[in-house]
Amino acid sequence: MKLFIKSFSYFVLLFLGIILLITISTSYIEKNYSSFEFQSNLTYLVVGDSHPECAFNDSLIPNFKNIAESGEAYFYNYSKIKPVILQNPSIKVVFIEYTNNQINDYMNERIWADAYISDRYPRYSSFMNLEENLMLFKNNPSAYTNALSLSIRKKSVRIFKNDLDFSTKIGGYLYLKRDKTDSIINSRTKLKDTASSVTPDTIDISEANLSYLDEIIRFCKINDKKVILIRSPQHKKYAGYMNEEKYKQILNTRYADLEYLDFSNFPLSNSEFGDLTHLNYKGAAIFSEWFANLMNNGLLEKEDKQDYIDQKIKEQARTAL
Amino acid sequence: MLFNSIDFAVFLPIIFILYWFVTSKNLKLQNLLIVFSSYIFYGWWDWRFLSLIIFSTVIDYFIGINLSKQENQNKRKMLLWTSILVNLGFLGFFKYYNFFLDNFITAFSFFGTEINVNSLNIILPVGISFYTFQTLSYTIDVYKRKIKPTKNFIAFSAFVSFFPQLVAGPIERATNLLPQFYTKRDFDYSKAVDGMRQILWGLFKKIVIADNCAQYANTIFNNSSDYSGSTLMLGAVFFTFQIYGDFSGYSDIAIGTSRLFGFNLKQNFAFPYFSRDIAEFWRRWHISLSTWFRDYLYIPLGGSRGGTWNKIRNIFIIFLVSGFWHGANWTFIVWGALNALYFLPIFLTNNNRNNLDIVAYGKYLPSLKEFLLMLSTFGLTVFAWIFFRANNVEHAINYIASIFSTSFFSIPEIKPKSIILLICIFIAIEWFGREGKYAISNIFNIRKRFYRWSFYVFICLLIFLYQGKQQEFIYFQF
Repeated sequence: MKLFIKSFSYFVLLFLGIILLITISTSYIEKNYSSFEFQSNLTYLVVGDSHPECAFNDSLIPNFKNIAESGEAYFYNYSKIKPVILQNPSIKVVFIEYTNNQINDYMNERIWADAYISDRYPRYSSFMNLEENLMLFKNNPSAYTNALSLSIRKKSVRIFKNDLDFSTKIGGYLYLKRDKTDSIINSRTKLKDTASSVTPDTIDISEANLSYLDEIIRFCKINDKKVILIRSPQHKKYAGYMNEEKYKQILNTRYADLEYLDFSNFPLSNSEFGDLTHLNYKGAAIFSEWFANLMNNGLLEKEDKQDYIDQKIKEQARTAL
Repeated sequence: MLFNSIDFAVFLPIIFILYWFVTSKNLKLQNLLIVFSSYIFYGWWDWRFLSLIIFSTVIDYFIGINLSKQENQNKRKMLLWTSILVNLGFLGFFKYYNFFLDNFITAFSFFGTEINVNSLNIILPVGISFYTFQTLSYTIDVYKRKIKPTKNFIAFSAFVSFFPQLVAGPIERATNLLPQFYTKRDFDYSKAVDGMRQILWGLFKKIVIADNCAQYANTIFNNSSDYSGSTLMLGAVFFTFQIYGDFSGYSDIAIGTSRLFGFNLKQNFAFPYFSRDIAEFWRRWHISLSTWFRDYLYIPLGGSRGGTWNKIRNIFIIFLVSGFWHGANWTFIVWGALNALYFLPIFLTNNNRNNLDIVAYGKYLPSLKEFLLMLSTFGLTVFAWIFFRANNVEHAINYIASIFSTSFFSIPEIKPKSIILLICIFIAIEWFGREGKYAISNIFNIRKRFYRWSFYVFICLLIFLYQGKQQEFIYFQF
């Protein structure tokens, strides 16, 4: 019996040692030899989920890079923003999307649900620390184990192929062609009733997601980058507005010391939205050119930035009419 | 509790330690631990259905004792039928009630009579078909005086609920398993190592082969109208490996786990895809079920005695019942009928016992004839599995029709190279290990520890690196 337990323990240790060795060595290589470098004159960075991903066409905004990606929680934003900031010292300002949906507890699912963990973890695992690994394991052990094995395979392939340029693998502007807003509105006539029936008291907050927004902010500050929270343009019937009160409450308490720019009321027609949440390529072009113009006119140097934005939004609305 | 889950990875060592360190000196206590742990294992899924197992256990225990006391043949028959009706009653209600109801409604509406009866929302208790057959075999064997009934209730409860094989077999006979609960088990190093080795191979089959094949098989079968004939063919082949990896993997883990606790279970799969004809396939596939039907259905029906029509009838009955055992769906019945049709020609021409040996025994490669025979048998099973996997008979027919279209000659839309490579590795290991009880039982036994461990590490790495998305064992639903 003792011999059996001894042999079995040795074997388990040997196997775990091999796995650990492969994990550490592949992570070490990726961490030290991966490239997250963008153009040398890059000054502005935007990070977040699908809202900025579809809104900011960075080819129309000078010195600006969009690294947002659909369905990405702050947890994964944090993993990629670290090497991006360290390898692009020219960045001065980081815009972080802070939209209504990002405070909701369903964002937890976007951190550790099977589909998200298996997609994101193999990409960013080399840039995560032990604590982050433990959080994923604790909340979804089977998906984490699955993703760990997938990450070793993917990392090994990337290293073997010398495919360590991450600058094209970490999100970016999404050229959204769809134009479904009218059909969605027609099929969801009860939308308004549903939205108004939910009170802020019934909304649970994703502390896990917000804690990684805190981490991003802390990391940017340590590296002397200015952080600005933004809200990309949304359709007026966007269902996420149901938690507006809670959303504002968190903004005015937890992030009171940060600048916040709200573009949600930017005037666009239904055909310029892909759906109620995202701008399509037409809307993105209009908004991005307008935003570039604002930046050229010194938006970031203004005292009352939001007043300036609101004024420009009104002007834009009149022009649109 | 799934064998390939973290829950089981925690559960097994705890029970193992309690079994060999705490209760090893007291047989009764050891058996009690098995009963207790088996109930936890089963209750982990749904504790409410434990009552069914306990009820079956109590009924068959007392019927067994009464059968031994009773000399009046009519009363003995009545006791036997009580056991059969109770056990099959549970099985019939939970598994087949809605099927029969739906078909009665359809049949009556065909003749113009509308019946308004709602089907019930019944949850199928996991493993009910397996433990029902196991307890039934005990009562029938006692009735036939093949075994003496047990008076040890704890041992009998352990026999009925033994957790390694409780939910998906192998379906054990009382003659083999029950006596093992009467005798003291001593820890045997080589037996435990062999058990671990078989568990490892079972996990490889389940996690690497079955779970990865399942992802592609499910995608292709669930969207079969979107794919070309070549892709549909690939989907059927993936399912063929999925079901083998899934079910034989489960059996390997069950047998291996039992060996860790000092028990020997019967071999349930003997490399069926290397069969040279369908009769050999059925001697090698789900052996515990095939032999159960042979002993308790086919032989009582007359077996191969009597005229040709009797033989044909008996063959059809056994295959149709076997198909129906798998589930309350016409697809399983068609699958059973199809296998009966495959089997009948070689049976009626007395060629069903041509291939009793191991193919290409002692050789590295089969002859061309053997290879072609294996390939044709494999092709027939792949075809039959389409009915087994399809959602309904119409789906299966459409699937087959789409395979046999011009698009069969196109390049498949899905090309999972790594999975195909893994299947090739799997086939190679199974082929070279086919003379053992399971594929890796003999390969490295005589080599140095370094080579053995290198091989085990290689298998473990494949399991870790190529683990598919965790899927429930297919046979749980049966």
